Amino acid sequence: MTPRGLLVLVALVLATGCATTRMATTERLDHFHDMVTADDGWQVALFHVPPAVGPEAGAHVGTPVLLAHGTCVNRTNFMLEGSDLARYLSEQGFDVWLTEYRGDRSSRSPDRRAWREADWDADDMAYVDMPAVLDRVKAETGRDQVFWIGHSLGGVLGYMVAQGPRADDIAGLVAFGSPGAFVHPNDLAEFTWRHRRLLPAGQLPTRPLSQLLLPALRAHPRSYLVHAITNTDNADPGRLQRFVWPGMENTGRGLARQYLRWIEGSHLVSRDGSVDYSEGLADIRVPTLLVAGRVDHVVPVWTVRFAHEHLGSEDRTLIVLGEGWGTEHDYGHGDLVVGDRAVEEVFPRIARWLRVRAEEAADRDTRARVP
Amino acid sequence: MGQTTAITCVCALLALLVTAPAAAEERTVVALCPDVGEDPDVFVVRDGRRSIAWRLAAAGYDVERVDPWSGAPADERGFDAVVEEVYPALVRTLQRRGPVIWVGHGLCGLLPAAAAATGDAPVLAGWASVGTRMDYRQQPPSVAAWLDAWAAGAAPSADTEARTLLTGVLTDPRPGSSSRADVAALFGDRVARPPPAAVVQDLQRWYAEGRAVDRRGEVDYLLGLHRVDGPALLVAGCSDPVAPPEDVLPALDTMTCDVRYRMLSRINGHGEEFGHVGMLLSRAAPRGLDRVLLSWLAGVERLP
Repeated sequence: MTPRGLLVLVALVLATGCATTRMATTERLDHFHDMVTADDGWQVALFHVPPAVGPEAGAHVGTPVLLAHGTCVNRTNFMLEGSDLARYLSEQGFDVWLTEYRGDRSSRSPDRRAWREADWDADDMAYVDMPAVLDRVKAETGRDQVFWIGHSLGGVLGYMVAQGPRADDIAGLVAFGSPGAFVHPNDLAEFTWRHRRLLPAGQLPTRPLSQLLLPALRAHPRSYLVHAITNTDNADPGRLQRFVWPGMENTGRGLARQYLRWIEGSHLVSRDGSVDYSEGLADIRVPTLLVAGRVDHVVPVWTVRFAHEHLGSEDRTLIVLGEGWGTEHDYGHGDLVVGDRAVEEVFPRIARWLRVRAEEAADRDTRARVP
Repeated sequence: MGQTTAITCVCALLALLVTAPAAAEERTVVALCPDVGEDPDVFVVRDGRRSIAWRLAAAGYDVERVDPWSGAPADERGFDAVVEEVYPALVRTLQRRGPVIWVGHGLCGLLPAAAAATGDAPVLAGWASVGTRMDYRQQPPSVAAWLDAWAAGAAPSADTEARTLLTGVLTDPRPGSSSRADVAALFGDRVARPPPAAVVQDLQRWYAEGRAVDRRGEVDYLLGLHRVDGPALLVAGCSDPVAPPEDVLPALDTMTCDVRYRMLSRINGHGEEFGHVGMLLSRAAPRGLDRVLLSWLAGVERLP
């Protein structure tokens, strides 16, 4: 075996190892709050960043906000140094909760087989994990409702929860780069569909693969591969590199299969195809803020606009983040929340939107309590 | 009216700017039509590379630049006059030399559909709209500021112009791409010119009403999309606020002819995220618009 072959073999072994490694020290992670147990025995981690200001800052202070991350990543999505949405919202007075999903390193499976088969999908996350998480957040805060903020898959889970049996738990929904349907698939989606047979058994090793590719990312920070996910003109490659180790996660085979089905049929549907979540957008009634990146190639603007046009909410807003729409640069997918200027250009708009709706909700509560 | 039409036809004929000499045998005529606020030179200048007009001529097409925006009809009656008088006259004049393929940038790309909506559209051999908005329900702030400035009789600020027309061209470019400063200079020196005030008013009205409708309120120009005969090509720049992909794609759901859609984007292998002007003037344009257009034209030529 040549030295290069040996190197590749070692890398593959390491990759396989990483793919099946779980995090044994979840409890030591910053802002860790507790593990939440779902009905089927899976445990997912809940993190908490309490409000950093007192009630004198406004009626919105203490309003619970749940942050739901995207695919292949974890809560670091919202806690990266320099673009820390959790901290930002906490400083604005919100009571911030973050959840991770089944299959993330922080989660615990009921048995080894469930972990190995990695068959979980968005239906499990939205309708098994999230009810448990919402129950816990409501119990901890004493509030009846929670504002949901999701990036990518996190926003899709928000759509699913807000049209499902727990819709009353949601006070409002903010979705960054979350498609309402995969209409008009771009080349990236078609490429993914063409290579669907490469889907491995078990977990997709997106975490070790990203670590293996890290040297290439360092050498070519503006490469096509990175650009497909994040507009590196809008996010410092150094910060993105620092994201890889703590922030990347593997993806469940079931979820990957569900994505392929969504790309194939264009609509977001349940595991067995019996429920059409894209059509179900019409059943969502809560205030909704959708954010799309001008050069987002993972979730292009028109797929987010589909959601905007089909939502049943009377109060719904679509923001496009692009130079023609007032930002310094065009935003891609990842940089919607980890972009260099997200703190100045994006987060204040989210906080303003939340504050107005939270104050309205507080007003309604006050009026309801008056006999 | 008859006199206006005659004047219009003369203006249109005078506006034909010959790029390549007419050949003895009948060749396909490619009519290149600029957006409002652009000189037809937009097709013959480019930062450090051969222009799109040069490449089309080199590929054997009989290339003409046409200019429907300069003249009394557009100045006095805006888009309606261009659709009803100027565009048919231009096409019919060119058709004496051969089958015509219309390539319109921005608002010019809407003319074939708009003419079809009026019921009096000359038959084209093909139609390519490049950076043409097909849905007026959403208006990006930069486009609103650009139109407001012209409506007030002043040129837009450099920042507004950059945010509207020069997106996608980076200040700090990659190898093979243009710098924002170079394209801005080229655009300012050779291409930019004041749009007809009446057309600016039309555009503002369209955005306010959410549809591209004539001044009498009788003809919805976008309804002509399903009447247009193919083949057709719709090209959108990924970073273009004038005609972003999501405002071009609705046409695909309406058109029934042989229509292709292509988004000019780095993700599709075109080198950069193209904006409205960059797709024509940028150093990366040969990998983007030129490649897409020439490939589509070759396909059109092969059609029976």
